[in-house]
Amino acid sequence: MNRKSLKILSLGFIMSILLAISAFPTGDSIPTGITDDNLVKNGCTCHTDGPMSSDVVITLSDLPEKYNVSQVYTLTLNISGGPDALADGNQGGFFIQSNYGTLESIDNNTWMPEGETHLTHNEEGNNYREWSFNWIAPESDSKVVKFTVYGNSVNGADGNAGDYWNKGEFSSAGVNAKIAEDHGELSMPQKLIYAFTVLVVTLSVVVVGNRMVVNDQSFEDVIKSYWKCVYPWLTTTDHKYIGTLYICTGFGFFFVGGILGLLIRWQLFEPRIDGDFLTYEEYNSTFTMHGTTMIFMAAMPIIFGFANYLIPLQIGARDLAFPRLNALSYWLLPTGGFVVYMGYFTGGAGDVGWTGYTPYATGDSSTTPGTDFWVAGQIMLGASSTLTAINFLTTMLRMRAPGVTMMRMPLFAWSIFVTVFLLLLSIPVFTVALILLMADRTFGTLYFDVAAGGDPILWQHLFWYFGHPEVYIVILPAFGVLSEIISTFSRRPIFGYTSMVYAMATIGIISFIVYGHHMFTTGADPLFRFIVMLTTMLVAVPTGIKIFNWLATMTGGSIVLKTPMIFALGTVITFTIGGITGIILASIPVDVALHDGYFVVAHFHYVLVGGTIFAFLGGVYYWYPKMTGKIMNEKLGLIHFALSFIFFNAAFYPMHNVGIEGMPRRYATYDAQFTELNEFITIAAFIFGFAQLIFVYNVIYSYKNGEDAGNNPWDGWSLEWATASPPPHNSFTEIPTLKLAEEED
Amino acid sequence: MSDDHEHHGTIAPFIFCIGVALTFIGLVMATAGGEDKTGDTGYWFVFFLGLAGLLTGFFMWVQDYWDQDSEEGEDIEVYHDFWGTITTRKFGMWIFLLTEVMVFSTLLSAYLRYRAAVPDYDSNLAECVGIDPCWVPAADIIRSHLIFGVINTFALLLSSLTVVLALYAARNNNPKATTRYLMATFALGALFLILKAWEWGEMKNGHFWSDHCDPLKQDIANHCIAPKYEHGFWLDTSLEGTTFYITTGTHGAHVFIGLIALLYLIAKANKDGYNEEYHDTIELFGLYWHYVDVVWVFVFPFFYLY
Repeated sequence: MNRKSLKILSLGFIMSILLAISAFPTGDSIPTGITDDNLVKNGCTCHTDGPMSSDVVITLSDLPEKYNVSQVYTLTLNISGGPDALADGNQGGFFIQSNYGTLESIDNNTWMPEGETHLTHNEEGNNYREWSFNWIAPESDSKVVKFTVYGNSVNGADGNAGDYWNKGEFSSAGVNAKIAEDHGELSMPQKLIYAFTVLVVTLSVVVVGNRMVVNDQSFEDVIKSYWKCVYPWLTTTDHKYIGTLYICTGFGFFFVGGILGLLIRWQLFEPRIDGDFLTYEEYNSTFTMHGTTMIFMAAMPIIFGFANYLIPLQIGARDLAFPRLNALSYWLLPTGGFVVYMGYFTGGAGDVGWTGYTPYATGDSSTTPGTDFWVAGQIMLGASSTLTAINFLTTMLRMRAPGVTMMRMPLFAWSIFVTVFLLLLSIPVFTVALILLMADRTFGTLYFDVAAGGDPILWQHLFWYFGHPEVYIVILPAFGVLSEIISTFSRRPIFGYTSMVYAMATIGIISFIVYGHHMFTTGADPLFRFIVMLTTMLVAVPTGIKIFNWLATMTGGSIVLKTPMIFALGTVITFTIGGITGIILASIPVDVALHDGYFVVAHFHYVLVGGTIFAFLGGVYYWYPKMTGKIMNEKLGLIHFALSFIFFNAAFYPMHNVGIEGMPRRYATYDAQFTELNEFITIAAFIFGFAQLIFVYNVIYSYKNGEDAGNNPWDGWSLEWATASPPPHNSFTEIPTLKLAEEED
Repeated sequence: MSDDHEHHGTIAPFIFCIGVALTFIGLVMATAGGEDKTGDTGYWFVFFLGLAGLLTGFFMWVQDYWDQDSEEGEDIEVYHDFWGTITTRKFGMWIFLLTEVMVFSTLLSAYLRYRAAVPDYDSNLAECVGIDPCWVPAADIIRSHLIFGVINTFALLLSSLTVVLALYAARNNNPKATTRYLMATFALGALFLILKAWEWGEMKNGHFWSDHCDPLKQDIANHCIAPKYEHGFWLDTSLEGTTFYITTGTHGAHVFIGLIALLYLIAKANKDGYNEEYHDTIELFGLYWHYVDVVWVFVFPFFYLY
């Protein structure tokens, strides 16, 4: 396909998307005729010409606001307005359907077609504009009954011309019905998202307007020049472009997820009653979205951003094996993330926890579209990760440069190698589980339906079969980054390279046989739990090997204390704390007591923030010179580290204490005895959050004002330092050959 | 170098992903709300718009391959032999099939988990009467019409042969035979889907079950206890239905995707003709197609015989 037709096609498609977006809010109105599926399906296809008219007023009298169980109500439906009818002609017609209870005809004017549940007029009934009939209330007192009514006011002449019709909806609730909340008022995250949208729109208007005025360009010219900047990013298949996109998207979502985290902390600043700050439902969706965002849209994209950028460089390849597939993997991320966040625009995001436990997540319990969006978006993210895994595994097994044998790959490359293996085996399982959940919610299958004999624990098995390897998917690349940084800045090759590789591979294998430790409290078989406890504790062995190897690398090295190294040192400390609490939790009796408490929250934040995020922040400082050609500002970096490290520990360490004292997690409020520590945690968390702004500033500031880096600012040994900074388009002008120093040509 | 970059760039993945997102958004908005169905059918419009975008992206992607008439530049130099000299694309395909193995392992293990937990209705007849849950295997509903499943099995196995013959013909520079064998594969795959759709329809409407329950034929293997399915057997009637339709449906979806790929292969074979140098795509498709067959070899006994 030539470029012109490509442009026209993409332009056309983008136009239609804009059209769709503009049509979105009105998607539920009926533009012409009675085209409602329900009605057409039920056979009422007459009078379908002409628009719905507000002249016609439909009233349904004698309908109680609260119905009594199984009571028979006689309702009267009346149509007024519309054309005046001829004296001897037809007057009108109607259609009524209720989603619960039974309608019943009581005279000759109305009838119910066989096999249907709606009532409508018959020939006789055409001569009226008022009809009466019975409605028998449902047997359950917890239903909200909706009546859908169509009324047709006709002029009695032949044909449809001059006939007016309208639609009406009425409802009646059982005594114990939980009436859906009116979503007229925006929730807190919604407000933030709207504010953010307004901000972005305003900014772009200001930027575009500014250029129009200052440069005296026409609107089209400005848009064209921006389009020239944007288009290469939309169409790129270059691993460095895609890596940059991944990293930026990842940190963008990290920012959003961080705001959600701070909302959680503000909610927990003091014991709050429902709706004091967030309502309890909003709190549920806030921690759901916080977890989902941080794991799937922040941590994993940051990891795969670095992998995209660095793996081809480290193994001496020009690009990944399937560059276009790589672009597809990337674009599924922001679009999938958008789908997950769509919930906020439809009255509440997914509120089932990042684990999406059934039966909370089945259609009976969680009826908001937010949860459906959560599932749909996660399916897209799962597909993205699967494709990424295929791509990387192929690349690393097939495209290493001459001399780069498996056992000469840098440890970061090895960590990604193990990671993609885990992804390959685990993420399809999660994606299928999500598809089953979606089928349950949307198409009425019964996989997780308890009433039909389905087993909600099956979800936990499928989820944690993926979920535990996922934890290592997130932490192993951090190990890789730490190994690179510590070795470079200790000016020594990594101690025990081979044992490091085997340790990572062992962690990868063990990760598939430990997932049961997430399910100690589900009443699992004691033998199963016991085995899982032992294998979980076994993870400490390879992990310990890694930590001791890092220490041994530093021992006797001449350590250079630059920001990346300081971050790496901090990470070793915080990760070790997180690892040790993990061993504590592996013990069944301890876990049963602590499982649903804040001790677990402290544990996984120490591993995920103190391990993954700290290591990759160090990674940014370390590889930023390679990516941009500039070195990041040291002073700002140090302030960033000091604030982050101190206030990270201040925020998360006390969670161990409140957890042991019995504060439960996933609750929107807590017992007053925990107030003081929670206030402390909240304040520390806010400072930790704001400290990250220094990092953002540093990234932007150094891009303009940073020192020039040269090809190899840190004197690193791996292959990525052998090419220019930033690397040229094809990464290497010539494929390098790796040799040991003592090897001859 | 920058020219090079523009040459390889493609907007297809971006458009494809926007399409996928809109498809899901439309689907959710139209069907959301669990039992109460607060979704609005007006949003199917967004769903179809998304599908259009998805297909646009897909066709733009395929277009690049469509214009190629050799495999030059498709493969990358390999300095380390791993599993001999297979191409990188084929290697990627094998790894993709590994993920697919996980997909069907998940479905089958979910099925076995339910199947193992519940007593079969005829394994212990006395115990099962009036007891809920009680597993009435899909196999018993199909048993009287098993012949269609058998035909399907042979159709798929035969199609595995024809796709290999197509590859063989291409290697021998026989483009006409290649096209013919590809068409034969398509026909067999289509036959599979048609019979399957018919079978599904009959089961959904309960015809098989009522045949099975013919009072004249009643014997110990053909008793009519638990007329759970007198109104039909569909994915929302019971766990038996759910596992049967979702698993065979996922397999059917794979066959369907294979048929779309076959359409492309047939058209491409007609246009350029595969030959000695240029037959890699058929081989890649063949791998996928064999895999779909192998899955059927597991699905068939699990759901039709067991």
